[in-house]
Amino acid sequence: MKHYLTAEWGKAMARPYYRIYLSVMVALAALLALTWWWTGREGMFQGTFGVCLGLLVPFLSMGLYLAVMVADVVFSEQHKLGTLKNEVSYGLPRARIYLGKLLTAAGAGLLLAFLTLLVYAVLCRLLIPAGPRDGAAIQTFLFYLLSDIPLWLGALSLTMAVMFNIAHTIPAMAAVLVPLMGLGPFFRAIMRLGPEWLSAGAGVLYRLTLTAPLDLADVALWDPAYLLWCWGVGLLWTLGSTAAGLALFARRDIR
Amino acid sequence: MRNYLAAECYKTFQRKYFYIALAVCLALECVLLGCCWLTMSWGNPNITFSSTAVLVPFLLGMGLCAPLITGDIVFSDQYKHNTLKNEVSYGVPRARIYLGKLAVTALISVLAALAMLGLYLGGCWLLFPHAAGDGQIWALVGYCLAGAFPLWLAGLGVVNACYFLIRSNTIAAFTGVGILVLVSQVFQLLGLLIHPVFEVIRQFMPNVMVDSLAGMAFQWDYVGLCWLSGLVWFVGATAIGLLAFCKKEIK
Repeated sequence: MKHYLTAEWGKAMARPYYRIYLSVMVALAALLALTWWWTGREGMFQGTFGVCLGLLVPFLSMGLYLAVMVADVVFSEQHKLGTLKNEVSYGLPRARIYLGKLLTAAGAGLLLAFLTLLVYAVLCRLLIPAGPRDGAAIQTFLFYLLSDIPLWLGALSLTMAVMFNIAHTIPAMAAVLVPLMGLGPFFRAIMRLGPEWLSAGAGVLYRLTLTAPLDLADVALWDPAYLLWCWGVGLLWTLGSTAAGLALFARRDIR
Repeated sequence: MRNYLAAECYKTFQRKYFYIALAVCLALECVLLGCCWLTMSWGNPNITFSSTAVLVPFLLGMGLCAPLITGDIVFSDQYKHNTLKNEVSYGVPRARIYLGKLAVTALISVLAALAMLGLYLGGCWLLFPHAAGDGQIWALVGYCLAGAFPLWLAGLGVVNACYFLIRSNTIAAFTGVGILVLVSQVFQLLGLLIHPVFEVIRQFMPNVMVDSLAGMAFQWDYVGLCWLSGLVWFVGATAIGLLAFCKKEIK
């Protein structure tokens, strides 16, 4: 497994795809920080460093969709290029291929998120003055970050499970994005429609979607119930989609 | 061109992809209709023809991203299979390749849209009770469709350009969605922070226009604006895509 991970990591990092993706994300983060600095200089934005971090919180939900691209960086359309068949017929255990790529993607995704957020935070710290209440704002940001990481991992695992099992790229994307974006609104609509028991059931299912914790606007700082919810839902999707994806991939005919 | 169109149509309708994708969408519609019907049979008095058919104007935004699927059906991963290179090196003019595939994509998108609208509205008509205001709902659906059609064409033009110019399907799809959905949000932010002119530009983005159609009911000059904006987007994206594709090196 160690060799496989090293090889996958090396391949992912060596491709221009990941480096371009990272550069675009870092550039966007820098652009956002520079926007706050520029509007602050013009007198339109009066925030402090902590406010700038707080403004990033709504963007954290985009991580769900960015995770889809991270999975694509590592999986790199191997069905289309016929390279997955090489790996399988070389004799590597399928579980190692699956878990190796999943772990590599998780590592690459976390590195990408860390570097992007680091650039944003450093630039904001350098360009924008600190305020007296920044401590609480930094804690709020860290709290949301910690809550969102398992949700990102859930989206990443779902994407990996779909990519391993659906050979066509666009249908695979649809199979990931439709549940990711659609399940939450769908269950919320059912909650309003049906009789009592159906609303209750839809309510439970809604709370199990990856987007449900992100819909909540006001959460008390370090609320343990919220953290538990996020980590529970995230790990449920991670483990569930990995188990399903691995079981299907283990039986799949690779052409 | 006629032969090329015939060949592309033959290829598209021979593949199972179009039928499977359409069947999945129709099945999802049947699930939606079934859910409404179930709650009606459990005694929900709010389910009528007008309350279900009125969902159509709110779901039209999905038509903007639908070309991601129909475009992929026609373009069919030609970069990956290296079949685009065959077409180009065989000597088919690049403009014919580009416009031919665009036309066939438009054709199957319209067919799929007709099938989906027909099934949904027909199902609503047959399954749910009618009331006096039904004529109004038909008028609203017709108004919204008249405004949404050119905006769908705009989405089609953008997505087709992305498929032709970007080798990786995933990046092409994300770029298409990014242009069609996310750019308007960036413009909203810029409009708030930097200059109101960005907000004015945002009002002409296809996704903003398609979402505000239902609220603008029966102002036909807004439909005219949708046609203008949609055609400008469509022609602009196609011109950029075609020019860049003519100069692109096909590996």
